[in-house]
Amino acid sequence: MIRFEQVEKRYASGQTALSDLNLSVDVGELVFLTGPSGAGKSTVLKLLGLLERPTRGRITVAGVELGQVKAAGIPAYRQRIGMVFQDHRLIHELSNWDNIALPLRLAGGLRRELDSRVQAVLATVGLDGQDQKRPNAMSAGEQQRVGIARALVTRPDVVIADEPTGNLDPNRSLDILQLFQSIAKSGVTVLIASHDQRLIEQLGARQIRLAGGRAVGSAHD
Amino acid sequence: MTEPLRAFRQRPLLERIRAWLEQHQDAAQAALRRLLGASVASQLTIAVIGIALVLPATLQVFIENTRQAARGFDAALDVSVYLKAHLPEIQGRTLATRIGQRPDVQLARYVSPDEGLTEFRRWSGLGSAVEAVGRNPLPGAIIVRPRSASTDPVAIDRLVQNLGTLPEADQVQFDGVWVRRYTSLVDAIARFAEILGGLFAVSVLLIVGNTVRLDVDARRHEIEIMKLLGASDGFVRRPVLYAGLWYGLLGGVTGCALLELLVLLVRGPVSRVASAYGSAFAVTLPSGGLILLLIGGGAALGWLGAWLAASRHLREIAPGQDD
Ligand SMILES: Nc1ncnc2c1ncn2[C@@H]1O[C@H](COP(=O)(O)OP(=O)(O)OP(=O)(O)O)[C@@H](O)[C@H]1O
Ligand SMILES: [Mg+2]
Repeated sequence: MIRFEQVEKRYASGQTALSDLNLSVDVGELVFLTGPSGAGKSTVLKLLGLLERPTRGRITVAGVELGQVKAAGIPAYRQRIGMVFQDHRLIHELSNWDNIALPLRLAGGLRRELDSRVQAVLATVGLDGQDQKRPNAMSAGEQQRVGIARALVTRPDVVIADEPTGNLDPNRSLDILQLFQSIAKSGVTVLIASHDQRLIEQLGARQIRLAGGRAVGSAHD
Repeated sequence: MTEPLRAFRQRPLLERIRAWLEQHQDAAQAALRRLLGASVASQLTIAVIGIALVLPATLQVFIENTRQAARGFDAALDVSVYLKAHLPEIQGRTLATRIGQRPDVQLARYVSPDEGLTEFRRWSGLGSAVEAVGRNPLPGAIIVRPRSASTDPVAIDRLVQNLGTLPEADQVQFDGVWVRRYTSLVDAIARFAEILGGLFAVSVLLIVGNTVRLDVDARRHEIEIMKLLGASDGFVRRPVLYAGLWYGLLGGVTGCALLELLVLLVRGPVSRVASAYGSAFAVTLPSGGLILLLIGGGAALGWLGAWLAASRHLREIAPGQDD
């Protein structure tokens, strides 16, 4: 489902973030990207979101070779994947409902279809009935759930998340990671960059360890 | 859970059109809500646009009215053909009919010496002096009303010349020179108004452009998030263009209201001046065409101003690097 082949990423500053990286994630798999700060975890996710382009190598996501996606095709590609961020990236002027409905509207959903999908996904993340609240009237963990709901609402093949538990205490973090685990069980491929070594081990999920821009090991605890 | 997203793209055309229309409706509503609900700044922008539109529009109303007034001067554009003395009346009448058939003549009327005298007595007040002369000194005359006199000075000159070569004519007189000056002055003012209108149109573009650019900057974070989620440039541009359109449209409505007010205020004094000169002239309210032009033109200018100011700006906003 996700495949990196000999990928190199050198930023304009000259910093080489990834060199000769190979990795692959199967359909419905939950995989964690781990490694020390500066190892290149965020860079991998930015390449997957087409926020950056690799300087060398090939990346394929759900059958799409990203090198073939032109600038004009980026919006349509982004609509096909779900993205979750450490700082949620919710629009605070909008209600939860409007935030979650946004990707559906972008993708061309009809008005009458939105509500049932929004309510269903809110239930999935455990926030039934919270659709009219504004994000900033909620706790950090709840905001992250809204962010996850927004990433799931279009039922993407792939969900990527950069430090989704970075702002949460360990209990909330475990809840969120378990939520991701159940999402993966429903058939969605999930790739998460995280520091929460202990929790990952507790979940027993596969890890891809990065160091200095290379995969240094794939552990399945 | 839910049907996968890809299904949206493979929908029947009608549903895709409907989704597109809904997106437009949403964008228009959101833009209007933000504009009305928001700040004093946006109301100020609307007021400034209204004022910028009302200045050339006032001039336009002025021009429409002076042209209206000029229509009352038609009688002053008549050409008088004084006939040779002792020309028989029947010949004079035949000649009048002939002149009346010319394509550049609207009407030709024969005035016999007797009728001429009666008219002269009436408006000169010199009736008794004429009596003293004893015998009617006036020749017969033909009063010619040219077609298109006020619009075509060359044609009227040609007509005057032609009539002068008639063997029956003694003298041809045209008194409309001052009317001609008046209409060419109005034409010059009209040209000035057009130029002024153009300048004010540019100022509306700049005002809307600037306001919309500030709006975009204020919403930069939101726009970045939308792009991150797969919003196209067109999608994020849409509410901005609608905002421009609303600014222009509401500015146009404000301009119309100001214009009506202005006209109502000067109407009384002007008609008092006119009646002092024995005229029934009254200032007319702005025409429906002008009102439509103000509102429609305002909306179009607002849309264009937003497009010019924001489309590149929006393209350049890229989802930020979050670390
Ligand atoms: N936009 C950028 N321009 C230049 N260099 C960058 C940029 N983004 C990241 N880098 C560099 O690339 C390397 C990898 O960064 P990246 O953000 O991928 O690491 P990370 O594994 O996510 O680290 P962390 O755990 O701290 O989030 C680092 O050396 C970083 O300084
Ligand atoms: Mg990072």
